[in-house]
Amino acid sequence: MSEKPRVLIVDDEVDMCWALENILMLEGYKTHTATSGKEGLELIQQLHLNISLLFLDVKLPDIDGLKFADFVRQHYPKIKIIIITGYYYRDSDPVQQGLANNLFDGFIGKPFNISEIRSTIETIAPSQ
Amino acid sequence: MKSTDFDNMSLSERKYERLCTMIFSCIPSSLLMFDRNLRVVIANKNFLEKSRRTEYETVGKHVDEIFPSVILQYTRLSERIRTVFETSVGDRGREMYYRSPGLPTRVYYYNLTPLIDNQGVVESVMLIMDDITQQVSLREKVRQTERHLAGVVESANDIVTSLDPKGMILTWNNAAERISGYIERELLSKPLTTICADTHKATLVSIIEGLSRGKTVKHIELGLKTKTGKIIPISWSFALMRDDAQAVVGIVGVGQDLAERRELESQLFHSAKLASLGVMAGGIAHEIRNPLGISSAAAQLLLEYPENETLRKECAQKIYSGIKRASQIIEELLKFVRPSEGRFELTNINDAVMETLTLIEKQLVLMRIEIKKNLDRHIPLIESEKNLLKQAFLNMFLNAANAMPDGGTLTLTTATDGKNGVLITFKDTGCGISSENVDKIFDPFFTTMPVGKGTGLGLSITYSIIKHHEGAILVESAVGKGTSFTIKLPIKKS
Ligand SMILES: Nc1ncnc2c1ncn2[C@@H]1O[C@H](COP(=O)(O)OP(=O)(O)O)[C@@H](O)[C@H]1O
Ligand SMILES: [Mg+2]
Repeated sequence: MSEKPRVLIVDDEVDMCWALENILMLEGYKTHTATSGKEGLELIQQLHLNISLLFLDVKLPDIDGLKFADFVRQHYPKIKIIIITGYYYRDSDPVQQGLANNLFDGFIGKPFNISEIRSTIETIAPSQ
Repeated sequence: MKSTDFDNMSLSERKYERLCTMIFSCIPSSLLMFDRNLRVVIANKNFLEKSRRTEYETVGKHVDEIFPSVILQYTRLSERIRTVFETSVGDRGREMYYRSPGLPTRVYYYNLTPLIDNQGVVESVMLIMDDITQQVSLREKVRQTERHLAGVVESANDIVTSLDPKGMILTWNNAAERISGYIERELLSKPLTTICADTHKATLVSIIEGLSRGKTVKHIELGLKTKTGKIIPISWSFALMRDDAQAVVGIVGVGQDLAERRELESQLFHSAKLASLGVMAGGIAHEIRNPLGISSAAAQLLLEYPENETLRKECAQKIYSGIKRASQIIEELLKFVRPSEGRFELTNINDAVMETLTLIEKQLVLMRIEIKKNLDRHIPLIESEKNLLKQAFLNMFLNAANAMPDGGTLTLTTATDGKNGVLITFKDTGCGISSENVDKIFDPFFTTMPVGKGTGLGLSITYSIIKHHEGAILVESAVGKGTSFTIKLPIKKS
């Protein structure tokens, strides 16, 4: 059986990290969490070869999440990015444009269903 | 005149004739003399000039050739001249509109006078025309002005009433009828005290006494008792009408319905509040969706893994705290949109600043705006409408945030100002305000923000809120460096 991908969760809300971590862990993923952009970047630099999925909040206290996503795209193109935020609607311009221009791979609005998380992962990073 | 006629005249007749000609040519009226055949015998200089004719084109001509046919038709001039010849009675006081080619219309006042010879027969008829164009246009202007004034008085939102020197009502405009419920007819010749609240009657009587002695009064608040017995606060100003000899002939009273004004003011405050909520809506969505997202995820975990003991406890904990947080945010919002109660309460302005900050702090942090607090812990309590103050403060926060799109520092300072006031300062490190704009920022609808983003109402509302508290707001700014707004509020309302 192939190993489940490693996931990095970047959200400034500790409790949101806790929730996502538990959901993914119980699905069998290995997870890492960061509550700021800086912390997230450090983790990517350390572990990038192992991380294949990034859950990213767009409103971070130290950096714009979309810029963060752009940076990851440039330097670590193998990492799939799922934006997870309460700030935008799915059909708002930044989300639609981001998906259309391949700035990120998936979008999940808060509050979400666990099944949405499962299906989003399944579409963009299908388990072998 | 032909020379043969002249020769036949006696000396005195000639003298008389010369005198007549001279008078004719001097008088500022136009003059024509007609014989029985309605032909012109004499036309004076004034007529010739005004009608742009030569004597040759005029004398000896029939009246029908002199005036345009339109004029002849509506003045029935030929007929009138003929009647004067027949009856020997003059025809006076009519208006004639006459327009000679290439000139604007002029208005004439004309008379027909019979000249009777020794036998009592009408020898000729004199037509004298006075140019009254200017008087007519002045008269029109006066009428227009009168109509205009009447219109202004009738359409005014404030009570406008005129009184005789004893305070008896002479006129009572529409607004007065609407506010008091009494129509003009019911109050004519009644004293103004009729509509005054009992408690203010004595004051009004002494005001009117003072007025008759020449003392004018401004902005005095008196209760008005409506027809249904309701008392409405009115701010009255009285002025005197004097005649040319400076004697007082009447009193004009203008009264503003303060209840109406206060109602409008509070509506304005309210709608501006909603507008600033709109500005914050994005941030608020985020604020509430986060705890909701956490609670919802925890609840789903609980459903999926009910047998996991530690997870179960944690989930319950997260659900509980998430819901508590969401409802706290809603609580703050509700407090904020609650209409002003018009009640001044003792307020700690540090609290007011901090409560406002909770509404927007998250958004500021996300914009990488650092907040420095210099709050005076011993700041005296002030009398204020806290909700309004919070609204003013929120505008300060929003403006500072807009001025620092790439982050910066916002310093909040509260301090005592000597003995009787407090100072609240919002100092940002944003774009600053150019000197040409600094005078305009408090104007309603002035904004430098893109269409759809700024309302331009923030500062004008803030200004009226501060004025409502009898305070002041000052701005200091340097382009590229930052801006500091200082609000000064008195501890006690006067
Ligand atoms: N802290 C500030 N720094 C720079 N400019 C400011 C600041 N506060 C207000 N202004 C200027 O004043 C204008 C009017 O402000 P306001 O009445 O609140 O309306 P709005 O914020 O909708 O534009 C703003 O558009 C901006 O140009
Ligand atoms: Mg504003």
